[in-house]
Amino acid sequence: MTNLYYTPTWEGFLTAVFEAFDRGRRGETVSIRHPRESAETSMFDAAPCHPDPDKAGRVERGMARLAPGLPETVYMAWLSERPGVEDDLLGLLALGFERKRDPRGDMTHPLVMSVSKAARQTGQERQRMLQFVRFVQTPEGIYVADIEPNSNVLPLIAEHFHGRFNDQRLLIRDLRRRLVLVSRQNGWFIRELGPDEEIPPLPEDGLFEDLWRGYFRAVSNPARKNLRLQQHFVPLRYREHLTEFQAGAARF
Amino acid sequence: MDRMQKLNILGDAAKFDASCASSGSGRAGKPGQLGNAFSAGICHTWGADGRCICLLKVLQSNVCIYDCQYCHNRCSNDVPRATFRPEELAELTVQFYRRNYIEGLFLSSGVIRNPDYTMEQMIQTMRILRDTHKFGGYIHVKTIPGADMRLVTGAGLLADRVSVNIELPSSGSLALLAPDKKPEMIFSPMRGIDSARRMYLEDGQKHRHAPLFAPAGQSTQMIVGATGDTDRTILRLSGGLYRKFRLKRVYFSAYIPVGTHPALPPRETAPVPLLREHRLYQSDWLMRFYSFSPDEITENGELLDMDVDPKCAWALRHPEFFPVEANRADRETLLRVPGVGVRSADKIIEARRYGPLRPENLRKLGIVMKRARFFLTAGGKYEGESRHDHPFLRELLTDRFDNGQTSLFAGQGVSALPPAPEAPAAAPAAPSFLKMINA
Repeated sequence: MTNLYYTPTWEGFLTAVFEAFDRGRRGETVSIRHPRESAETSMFDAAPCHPDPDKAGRVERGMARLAPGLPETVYMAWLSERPGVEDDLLGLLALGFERKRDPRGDMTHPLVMSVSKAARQTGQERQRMLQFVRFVQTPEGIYVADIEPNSNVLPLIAEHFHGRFNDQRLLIRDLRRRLVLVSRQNGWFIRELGPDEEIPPLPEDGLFEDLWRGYFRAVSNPARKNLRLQQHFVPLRYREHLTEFQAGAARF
Repeated sequence: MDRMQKLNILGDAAKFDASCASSGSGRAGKPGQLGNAFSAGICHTWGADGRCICLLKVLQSNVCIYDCQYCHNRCSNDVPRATFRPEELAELTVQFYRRNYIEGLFLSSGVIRNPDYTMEQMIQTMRILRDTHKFGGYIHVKTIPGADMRLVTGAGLLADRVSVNIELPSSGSLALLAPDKKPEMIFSPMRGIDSARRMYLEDGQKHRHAPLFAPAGQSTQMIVGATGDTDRTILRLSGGLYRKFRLKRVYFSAYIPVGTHPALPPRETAPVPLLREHRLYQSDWLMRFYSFSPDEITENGELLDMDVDPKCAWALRHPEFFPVEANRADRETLLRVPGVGVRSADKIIEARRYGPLRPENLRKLGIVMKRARFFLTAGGKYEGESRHDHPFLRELLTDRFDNGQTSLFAGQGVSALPPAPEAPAAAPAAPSFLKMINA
């Protein structure tokens, strides 16, 4: 059993898949591991794995040939960062290449279920971030928002916010991963914060935040009060960064 | 009066509008400009009543010359009044939008001075948004009954969705509770909007830059439980509206007692008919996505069954249709099975190409076997009960609102209908709206 520790980028992951298939052909059992797990498992059977654009490209094209849309599903599932998702994806792809058909259709297969669950988690959280990102305007006129999603959705929401608020300068900070999306009219990019870089706290926005909180209270109908339903749609873990649920926010 | 007070009054006054959708209009943002429309719609938050908030839903003004008995803003009601200046409301919308609080604006209004003047104020607000702020987000505008058709068309050219509220499901009820509104004031703009929409769509096919007219279509809303109109009347009317005017949505709003008119349910005692509203929405979904007709849903009587959902109710009335074999049935048949929704049906069809499905596979696919097991076989295997008599199954399928689900309907039992309105109204008056649509 060999553990492949990959560089946690999309290219790095695809390279690891390539390596895993390569070693698999030679009879080795391989497990793809996220580097954050390296402390937990024995380094004895560990093999490093460096990103290689050529190998990654071959894997990506192979997936697309097998079934259109498959690379996208794999990408979404990989972004979920669920523990063990790398091995599930490896298993799913092995299944697909062996049967020479789209593995996703066999929906009662345990690997397919686990992968589609992971992909769905990412998809759902992407949608939630389109909903729940809340910007605060700084005195310099930059709009800043903080998020802490379970999946790494920043690359999936960048285009949306860049297109929608094209005349604004935006920062969306993923506090959990220390990633920052920077968007301006001429383009966007995602940057990883250095280990010593501080994250300045969000400023108070004042008037419009208060107006929004007041509106949020006024618009719900006390005759239909239903906090359980509200919590179903807005889980508590997102509320810390939601303007309308902060200090003095809606309670009847 | 400062902005905070105005916003509180006018947001509060708009909360009785049920519609909240930002879908159906896809518009790409323009470089250097603000806003786009996301075709699936985005809900930004949910209020303490569990309803989604995706648009800044406010009234231009809650001043109103009309005295509709079911309405919170009727002129005889003693509430604080406020009016937004167009530029003020446009500014507020843009500031909220920039912070990603909302998808856009839902603009309605009480009637100031006269319908035309009110409509002009609303158009002015939209024009400032679109022209001055270059706002590309979503706008839903509610037209004012009695406004000139040219103004309605003007509004449609600025907004994504236009709606005309039908308010009450029959002309008798309308005459009784909203004497200032004539049915023709509702149906003629609906017809006008539909034909303008078709005209501009046709233009769009010939010319790339033809203007868009209400790209997200039109919708309407009616109040449920203020009058004696039955579920059958309501569902037939919505079926007609979808067919004739190509409405995107019909919204139902459970009547919340706000008035003391003798024809209305009493203010203190009448419960808000939330469960009834829920059953109507379930039926609405059956009509729009499951190819049920209004008559199929209400073949059992004037009122929907409150204990079981309308799809279960239909299934219980049609034992001859079941059980359905999951490995062979076509999509339309699968959709008739309680516990199988649109997505489940598609999953079954996809998954059975890979091998025969057994009941445990169905469970894994996410089929609600709690209900579906009585109506399905998988590979010939049946997991339902050996008894099939109607009362027994019905008992098993009854929605239990006592196991913690109560809060969904806030202790709603089956609420009795308010007394039927007298003379011109009641059930026989019902088809008159339908007749008007079909005219």
